[in-house]
Parts: sequence; C-alpha cells; structure tokens
Amino acid sequence: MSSSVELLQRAIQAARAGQKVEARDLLLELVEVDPQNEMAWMWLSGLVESLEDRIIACENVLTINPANEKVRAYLAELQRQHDIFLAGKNNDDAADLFTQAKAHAERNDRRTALQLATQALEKREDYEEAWLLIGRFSPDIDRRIAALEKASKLNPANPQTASALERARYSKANPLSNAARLEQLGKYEEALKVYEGLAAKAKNSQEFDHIYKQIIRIEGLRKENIRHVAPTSSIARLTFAWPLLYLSLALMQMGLNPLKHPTFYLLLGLPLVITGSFLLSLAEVRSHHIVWQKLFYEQGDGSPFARLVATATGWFLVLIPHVLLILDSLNRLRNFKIPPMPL
Amino acid sequence: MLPLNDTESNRYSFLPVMTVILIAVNCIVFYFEMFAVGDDYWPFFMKYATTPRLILSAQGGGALSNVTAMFLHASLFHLVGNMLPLWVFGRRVEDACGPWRFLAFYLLAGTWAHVLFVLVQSDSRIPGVGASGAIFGLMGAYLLLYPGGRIRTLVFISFVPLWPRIRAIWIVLYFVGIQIVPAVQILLRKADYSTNHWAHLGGFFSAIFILLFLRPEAFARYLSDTTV
Repeated sequence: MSSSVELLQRAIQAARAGQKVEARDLLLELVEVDPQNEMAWMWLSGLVESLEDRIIACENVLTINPANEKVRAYLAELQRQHDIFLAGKNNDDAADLFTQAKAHAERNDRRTALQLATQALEKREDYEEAWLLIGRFSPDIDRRIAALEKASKLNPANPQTASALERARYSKANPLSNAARLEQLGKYEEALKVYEGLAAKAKNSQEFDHIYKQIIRIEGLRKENIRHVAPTSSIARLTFAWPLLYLSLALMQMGLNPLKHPTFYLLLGLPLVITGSFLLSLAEVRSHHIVWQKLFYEQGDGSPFARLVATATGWFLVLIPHVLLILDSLNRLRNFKIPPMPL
Repeated sequence: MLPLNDTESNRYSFLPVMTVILIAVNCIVFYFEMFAVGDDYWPFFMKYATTPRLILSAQGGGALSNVTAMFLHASLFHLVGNMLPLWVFGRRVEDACGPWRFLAFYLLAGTWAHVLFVLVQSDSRIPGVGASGAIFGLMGAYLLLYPGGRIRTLVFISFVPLWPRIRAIWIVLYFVGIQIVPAVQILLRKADYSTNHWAHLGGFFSAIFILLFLRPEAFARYLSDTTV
C-alpha cells in the first residue's frame, strides 16, 4: 500500500511539474497494481490523451465512488463532446458514401448507388439527399414511396420531393401507366418486370391478353435492338411538321416574297399552328409531361379526357390559320381577272 | 417501266386510308374536269392550277391554287401514270407516318415541287397541274425509309411484257434520272416541255422532310438502321 501512496505522490508531482507522460505512466503502473484507487483514476482522466480513455477513467472513478458528483459532471461533458465528435465523423462518412453513390448513379450503376446511399443513411438518418436518391432510383415502388416520404418529412418545403412523391404514388396506383413511362424512358427491362408482375395478377383473360401483347411488343423492340428516342425529342420533331406545311403555303400565298406581298396576318397564324401541332404531338406521344400537370392537374401521361381535349384544341389551332389562308385565296380568286390564253 | 406494286406488307396499319382517299379524290376531280369543265378549261386552270407568273405577282388563288393543282390532271394517261405510283410508293410511306401526317407531307412535297417550278420558270404563263411533284416526294421518302424495298414493275423487253421485282432504288433513280437533262435544258435554254420536270425535282428533294412526319416508333427504327 505504501508503495501505492508513494507512486501516486510521484505521479502528482510529475503532473504538477508538467511532465505529463511520466505522470501518466506512473499512474498506469499504479492502477495496474491497485485498480480500486479512485485518486489515481481521477488524475488519469486528466492526463490520458484520447476522449475515449478519459471517459473510461471517469467511469472507473464512478464505479469506485458513485457519489463523486464532480467527476459525474465532468463525464457528462466528456460524453457530450464524444457525441459531437461521433456525429461529425458520421456526417463526414455519410457525405463520402453519398458522393460515391451519386457518382455510381451518374454512371447508371443503380444497384451500387442504392447500396451506398443506404449505408450513408445508416451513418446519418436525416440525410435528405440520400433518401431522395433512393426515392428516385429504387426499383421497388414501395421503397421509393417510403424514401420520398422520409425526404418530404425532413424538408417539407422541397417542391421536387413533393412532386416526385405524387408521381410515385400515382405509379403505384396506375401500374400500367408506370410501365408505359418506363418504356418511354428506354428502361425496357424494368418495364417488362412491371408488365410481368401485372400479368401474374391479371383479373381476367382480357386484361392478361392486353398485358401479354405489351410484353411481346417490348421483347420485339429489344430483339430488334431499336434505339430509344426520348419522348420529348419525338414531341419536338413532330411539332415541326404542320408549321412547315403552313409556312410553305403562306409563302406561296405571298408570292414567295413576303417583303413584296406582305400578308402579316398569315404569318401571325404561325404561332397558332406551332401550338396546335405541339398539342397534337403531345397527345400522340404518350409521355409524362408538365402540360398534363399544369393544365389538367393530372399525373402520368394524360387521361383519355385530357388527350381528347389536347387533340381537339390542337386540330382547332392547326386548322384555323389554314382556313384563313383558304379564305384569303378565295377572296383573291373572287377579284381575279383571268388573263387571255397565250397564243 | 411502270411500277405496279410494293411487294412488302405494312407494319403499323392495315389499310392506307389516306392514300386511297387521295386516289379517289384525284379520280373524282378528273371526272369533274372531263364532264363539268369541258372545253372551257383555260379559266378553270388559271384559277385552280399553279401558274408561275400569277403566283409571283400574288394574283389568283395562290396557296389554294397550289393545292388544287395537285389534284388536277391533263389526261387519263396523266392520271393513271400518277395514281399508280401514288399507290405503290404511298402505301408504306403512309404506314410509317400515319394518315394525317402523310397528308401533310404529301401537300408539303407538292408545294415544294411548285415552289421550284415557280422559281425556275418564273416567266411562264402556262399552268402546271398534276400530282407528280408530290409523288416524286413520296418516291424520295420511300427511298429514304425503305432503301432495300422491291417493287413489282411492268417492263417491256422487245415488246414482251415482264413484271420482275426490282429494287426501288433503280426505279427511283430511273424516274429522277430522266428529269435531269430536260430540267437542265429548261434552265439553260428556256426549252419548252409539256412535263413539269423542275416540279418533279422539287418534290423529290422535299423528301428530306419526311423525317419530321414519321411515327415515333418508325423514326426510332429509322435511327436504328432497321426496316422502318
């Protein structure tokens, strides 16, 4: 025992003299011999370097003397610091994992991206972007919805999350539309999976036949190795068709020289034809388009009613300028003096 | 050489509705021309055919005359000579476009045929009629979309009729090729031909616009280098 007291005094003297390493070594020697020495653990808690070791030293003090309130308060402070440190470390780890997940997602390696995003969420549960990534790329519609709900809870003000969540819920409620959307995005494999799932759950032979036809069609496209064309580019391409015809006819009407024979109201018809042609293309190319959301407050690729309205409006807008063109021609014909036949 | 039929079948639709309608309208208009207009055809053609001088001076029917001229024909031979290729080349082009866009392309090709005719023969007072400009547009479009297509064609070798399946490219090249010399003569020497060669060339080159009129699926096939 006397050697314990002596060791403790030497350690305290060394610590007071600023010889921390020596003091710590002496104290470690002491606690090895006398692990129940409260004073030794108390001094050690101030001399060891790492936060974890300090916490252990304090815990040992409290095991020996649970009534030591000073050390209890000090331990609480140390634990708070430790939690902050751990949270910071987790945040850094999560950010690293998410960066990797994002890179994999950009390379279209969705599986790895999803795994990394899940790991990032294990480190930091309130990582909104990681939830969004899962909500965007998970092949499981239920998981997508759950992830988006989580992201929405974390940041209710994010309009993109809200619309993605709405879309995901719509896809779940309308699996056929979801499959069509996947096909439009060129994700033939995923579309086939959805169709196959639907075929297994078909309520009657008619429904099964319809789904089976879609499966055969997509498999045909895959077999033929048909290149995927984005619906937006199809809409843009088809939008040019009718305006090109109208412009050609309007130029003929203006004697192929709009500067010499200007008929401006014919040129004013061009934006109408473009708008009409766009609506016709939109109604034909089944795609999830913002127009359905903004004009018809609908998710998905437009209900039959919305498509009908778009088609009717499109034809109206395309035809009106053409009718004006014909009326202008007829008016000119009415005042036309037929020239004599050349000899 | 007379193309009779495209031997390949349709992919997207069963009946080429618009092609049939166009043929029917052309025949009805020809019937009207023969029996209702009669000998007093000059005022009728001045109003409803494309006359370069009138077009350039913004007189007469303008755009309307340009469209109506596509449905007028000078003789029964002219009508049959146009309607047969319209059926042969139009059927599958319509299949790739859908009826309404096919109609738009047909009118566009006819209009561009007239544009070239008007620009090259700007002094002409002779009205131009016929669907041939638009049909040359269909030929060009057919060549772009179905370069490997084969056409059952009636040919006479030493007065012996034969109907082999000939690659569309040879038929189209033949019909376009026979336009070139007269077209150059019209341009350089102001030669006078009863056939509207520049309109044929104008229609043929407007075929490039067919890509704007294709169904999305047909366009994807075109980009994938598979049969449209």
